[in-house]
Amino acid sequence: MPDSKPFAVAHDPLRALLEAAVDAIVLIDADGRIAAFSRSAEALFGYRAAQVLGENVSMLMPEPYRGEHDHYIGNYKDTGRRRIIGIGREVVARRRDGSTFPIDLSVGEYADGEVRGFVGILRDISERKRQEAQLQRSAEELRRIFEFAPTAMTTTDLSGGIVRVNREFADLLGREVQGLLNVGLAELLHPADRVAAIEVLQALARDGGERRLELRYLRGDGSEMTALHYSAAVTDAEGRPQMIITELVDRSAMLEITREADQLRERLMHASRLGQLGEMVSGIAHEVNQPLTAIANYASACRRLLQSGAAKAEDLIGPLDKIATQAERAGQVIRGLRTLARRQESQRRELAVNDLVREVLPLVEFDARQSGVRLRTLFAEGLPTVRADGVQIQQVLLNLIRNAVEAVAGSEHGDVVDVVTSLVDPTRVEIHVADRGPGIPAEAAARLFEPFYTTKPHGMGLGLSICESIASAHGGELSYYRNEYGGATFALRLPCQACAQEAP
Amino acid sequence: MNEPLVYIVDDEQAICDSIDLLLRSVRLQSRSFHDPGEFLAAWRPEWRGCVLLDVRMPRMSGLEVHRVLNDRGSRLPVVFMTGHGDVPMAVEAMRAGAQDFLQKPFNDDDMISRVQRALAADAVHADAARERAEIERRYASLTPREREIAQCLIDGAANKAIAIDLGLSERTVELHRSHIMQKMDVRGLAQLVQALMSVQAARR
Repeated sequence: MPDSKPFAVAHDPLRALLEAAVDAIVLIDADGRIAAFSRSAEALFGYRAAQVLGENVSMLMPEPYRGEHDHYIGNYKDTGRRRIIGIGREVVARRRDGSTFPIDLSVGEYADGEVRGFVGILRDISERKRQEAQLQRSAEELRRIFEFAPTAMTTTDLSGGIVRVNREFADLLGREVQGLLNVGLAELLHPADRVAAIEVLQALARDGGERRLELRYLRGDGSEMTALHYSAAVTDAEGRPQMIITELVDRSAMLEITREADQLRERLMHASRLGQLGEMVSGIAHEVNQPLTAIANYASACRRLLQSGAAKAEDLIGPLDKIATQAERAGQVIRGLRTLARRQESQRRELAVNDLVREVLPLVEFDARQSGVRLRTLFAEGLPTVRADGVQIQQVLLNLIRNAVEAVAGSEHGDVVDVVTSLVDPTRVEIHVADRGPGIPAEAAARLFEPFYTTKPHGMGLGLSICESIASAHGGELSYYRNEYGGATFALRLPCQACAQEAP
Repeated sequence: MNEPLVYIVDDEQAICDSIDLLLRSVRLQSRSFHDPGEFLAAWRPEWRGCVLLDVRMPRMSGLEVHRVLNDRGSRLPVVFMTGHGDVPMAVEAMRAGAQDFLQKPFNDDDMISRVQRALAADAVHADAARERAEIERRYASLTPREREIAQCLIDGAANKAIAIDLGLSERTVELHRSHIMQKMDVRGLAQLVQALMSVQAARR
């Protein structure tokens, strides 16, 4: 118990030391009996000095030290070999109430004439021990978190050498943890991605920060795995990078799901195309029937003229040319139809948007003509190509043009639908379809691209939403605005590839 | 005098052009219109021949063109041209008095024979009309007294009864009667009755 009596001025320096020292001081004689017991020792052990003076110091120790202490002193006396004197060590002490606690003990020897003995300076290190244990537990916890985390992680030194990997990381790559240590991280990558990875790691080691990229790894069995790669530099207090932590997320499953979603979308697009073609089939049949009729007529006329002997061979050249022209025209319609009806894997090619528009027009021309609508085209010259799935883009065009024709059919606003291609800026090509119909009410305009939103009595509400998804799948966009005639303009913008080369 | 022509009305240039060539191979003359409105604007009552009319055209269907022709009293036979799946339209057209209809693409013999039939029908119309006009002209040359006596003859009165009714001598009535027969170019009472009936039918 700490003594609260006022601090008296001591008669000699030793007394003063024993009164004031923060560390506990215990003096013993050559036989191990306590000769002095400092005030802080009293507080530490819970004994009054008077209670311990003359007692064997071993009373302050738990077993097995308690039984052994006399022995230690004896040994020293006999051999002069110092086990603790001047060295100090961590030992366990025992309080009056029997509880034990860790202390740092340093021992000195004194001799003053006949009086010899030892001085022990004791410091309670319970708190330090507790902190150490806490630290160790935290470290262990962190190690376990790292080890058993469900994500693949690795730390690398600044030169990209693997310092540590967790089990998930090893599993993901189909390798053993031990086999990965000290290996360069880049060596685990697909050869084509190594340079990119090394550059990223070097940049992180130099500048700190974090990076995210997709990289292909090679598994232990040689198979390829695409992973999302998050790397971050760990810095010291001054912000200097010390090491790099990397987390890998296996993208294979996601890629698989994405592919399935793509396939579903393609099927939906195909179904929607077929639905549209179904609605147009009577018009398209007419569109083919017209040239066939003309061909039949020209051919019959030629035969009759030849048979009657009324015509010379050169008189037939004109009609024969016309037959060829009409056959070509019928062929174009059929080709456009077949392309749109075919179900195929999405194929991206470099395509000229003007050609895409030209191919689609024969399919919609009849409906337009029938509705008394004039389709006008305005093609920009020298447009760069776009990398696109032609069928899908034509599906969008078909949709937009038919909507426009429907919007102006029978309206007094005007009977022209403009299909215009242009270069918006060096990176984007635009195809827009503008009508002079009544436009789209604001309420409907806000929901235009929502699936299943429709204003048509028999519409599914999928047309424009599919168009919009086609546009964004191409990295482009589909937008609506009211044009200067109050009608609707739909603009499809697509990124173009070859702009750099084509630009003057 | 109006030469019989085949009037082709189809918005498709190639159709008009190819039919024209086909008709020329059998020495039939045609005239093409790509726009139904233009055709109706050009139409004259005295046109002879027939019309080849496309059912489906922008702005105005073939059926509407036919209706306008009927309203104007045109007697030109109309042959409709239809595509696939336009049979209900063709039925409606026939009900409205069309001469015939052809399905595109057509067989040349079939097309030509139908056109010729239509032209023949028009020729019959034309002959009948010419005959009627002739009778009209002759009737117009009768004097009022002669017309009066002619009406009595049709009604079945004998010369003597007519003479008494009109206060004329029987001899005078006989003279008028012979003039009437001469002017109307008929032999006998039966023919006279027929001619005058047709005039009256046309007037009614």
